[in-house]
Amino acid sequence: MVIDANVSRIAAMLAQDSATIKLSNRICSVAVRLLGSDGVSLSILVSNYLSSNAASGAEYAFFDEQQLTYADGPTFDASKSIEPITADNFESASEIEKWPIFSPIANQHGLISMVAYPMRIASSNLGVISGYRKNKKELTKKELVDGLALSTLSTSLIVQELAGKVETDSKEILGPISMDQSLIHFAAGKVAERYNISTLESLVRIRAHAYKTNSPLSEIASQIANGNLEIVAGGKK
Amino acid sequence: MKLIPESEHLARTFVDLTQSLSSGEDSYEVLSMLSNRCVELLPVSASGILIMDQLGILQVIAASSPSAHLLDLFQIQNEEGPCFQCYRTGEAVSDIDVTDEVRWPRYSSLAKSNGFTATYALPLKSRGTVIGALNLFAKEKLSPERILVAQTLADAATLSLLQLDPVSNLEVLARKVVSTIDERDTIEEAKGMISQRFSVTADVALIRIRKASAKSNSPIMEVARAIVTRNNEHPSISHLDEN
Repeated sequence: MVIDANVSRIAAMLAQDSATIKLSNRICSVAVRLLGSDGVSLSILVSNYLSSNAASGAEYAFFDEQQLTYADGPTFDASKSIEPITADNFESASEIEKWPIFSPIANQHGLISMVAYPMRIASSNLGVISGYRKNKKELTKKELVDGLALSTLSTSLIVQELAGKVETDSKEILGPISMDQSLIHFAAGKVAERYNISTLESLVRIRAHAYKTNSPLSEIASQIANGNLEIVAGGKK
Repeated sequence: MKLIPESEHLARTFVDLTQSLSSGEDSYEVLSMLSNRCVELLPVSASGILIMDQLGILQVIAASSPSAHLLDLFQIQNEEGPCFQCYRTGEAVSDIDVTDEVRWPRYSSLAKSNGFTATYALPLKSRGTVIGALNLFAKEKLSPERILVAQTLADAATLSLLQLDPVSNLEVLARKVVSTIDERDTIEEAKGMISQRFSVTADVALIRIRKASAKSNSPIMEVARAIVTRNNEHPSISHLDEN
């Protein structure tokens, strides 16, 4: 399968220093470079609540926390959205009306604009990558597209890490996302229903089983879809 | 050029498309509708729509039958076949007789074993950029007039992704592609849950979801989200166990 060279580049950036640097810090570091931002933050959903996980600096962690604390701001909105949320100018009347609590905080700290990318996998939202700007420069189309690719790759990496596998090279990062996603999500739905778990937990369980048995993810998904394999917490049944 | 007898049906398709998009219907549903209309409008047995995702990977978004899904997927994963060529060149690939096609031996063999003899791939293009393809699988060759109808339907699929605005920008398209793939995956998860719950096939699960959507007068995506989030208060849920 052909993988876009730019996407491979982003995967390689995410894989860099994977043995020594935490995944959340690597995502932030790549996001700063790709999104043309002054700083970034990463929030992750833990037990149904979004919480600040990493940031490129204390000020950006503060922006993230403020939005989550007051349930107001692009980061919070992105956690419930399919698409990225952008704020072009926190001083404008429309942004103040949209985010009445966070816009004044942003203005007080010289923050002009931001973009927040939801980290989605089908019906589940794992978190948000937020990029902050203190200048008037608009988000370019390239930055928007790179951000979409980054959020997709980061989401896949987080699911893999939850499944117990730390990816160390870009080929491994790109592997699961280049498979038949329809089949994998259908299988996830079956496992979720069978064990009364969320579809996200089900996706993690399926990937963990694939790693544990050293089997291709698509093969495991196909067996589940055909009713030939049941995944239980400790392994296959 | 001869008028085709399906003109009225084609016009109806565009009216339905416009209504679906202006009423905010989800892209996944609109593309599924277009894929099914291809089979109704043209003498083809199956059709599939593929779009390029945010990672530049072709994804099967809609397929009118499991065999169309299989053939589309085969082409993506093996980088072989008319769809893959169409996507790479941006040019329509038509008149492929799989009984006499040597360029893609594995694809031709698979198409033949699924009962098809002719396959077509029409590009989905926006401002010269290929964003996907419409694939048609037939048992007989299509006339040039009908290939034109097929390209019109491919253009309709492009327009649905551009929210009916042909000068819509890359940003709108990129956002729409992300949400369309999200919708497809959510539907698949809901299908998996219903398939497991009632011990039915994926196709029957989808039929049940569609029926529950119609009976509760709720968009199919809303029903799918209610299923995966276990929102049992949703009015569609009580209709899912009806055959």
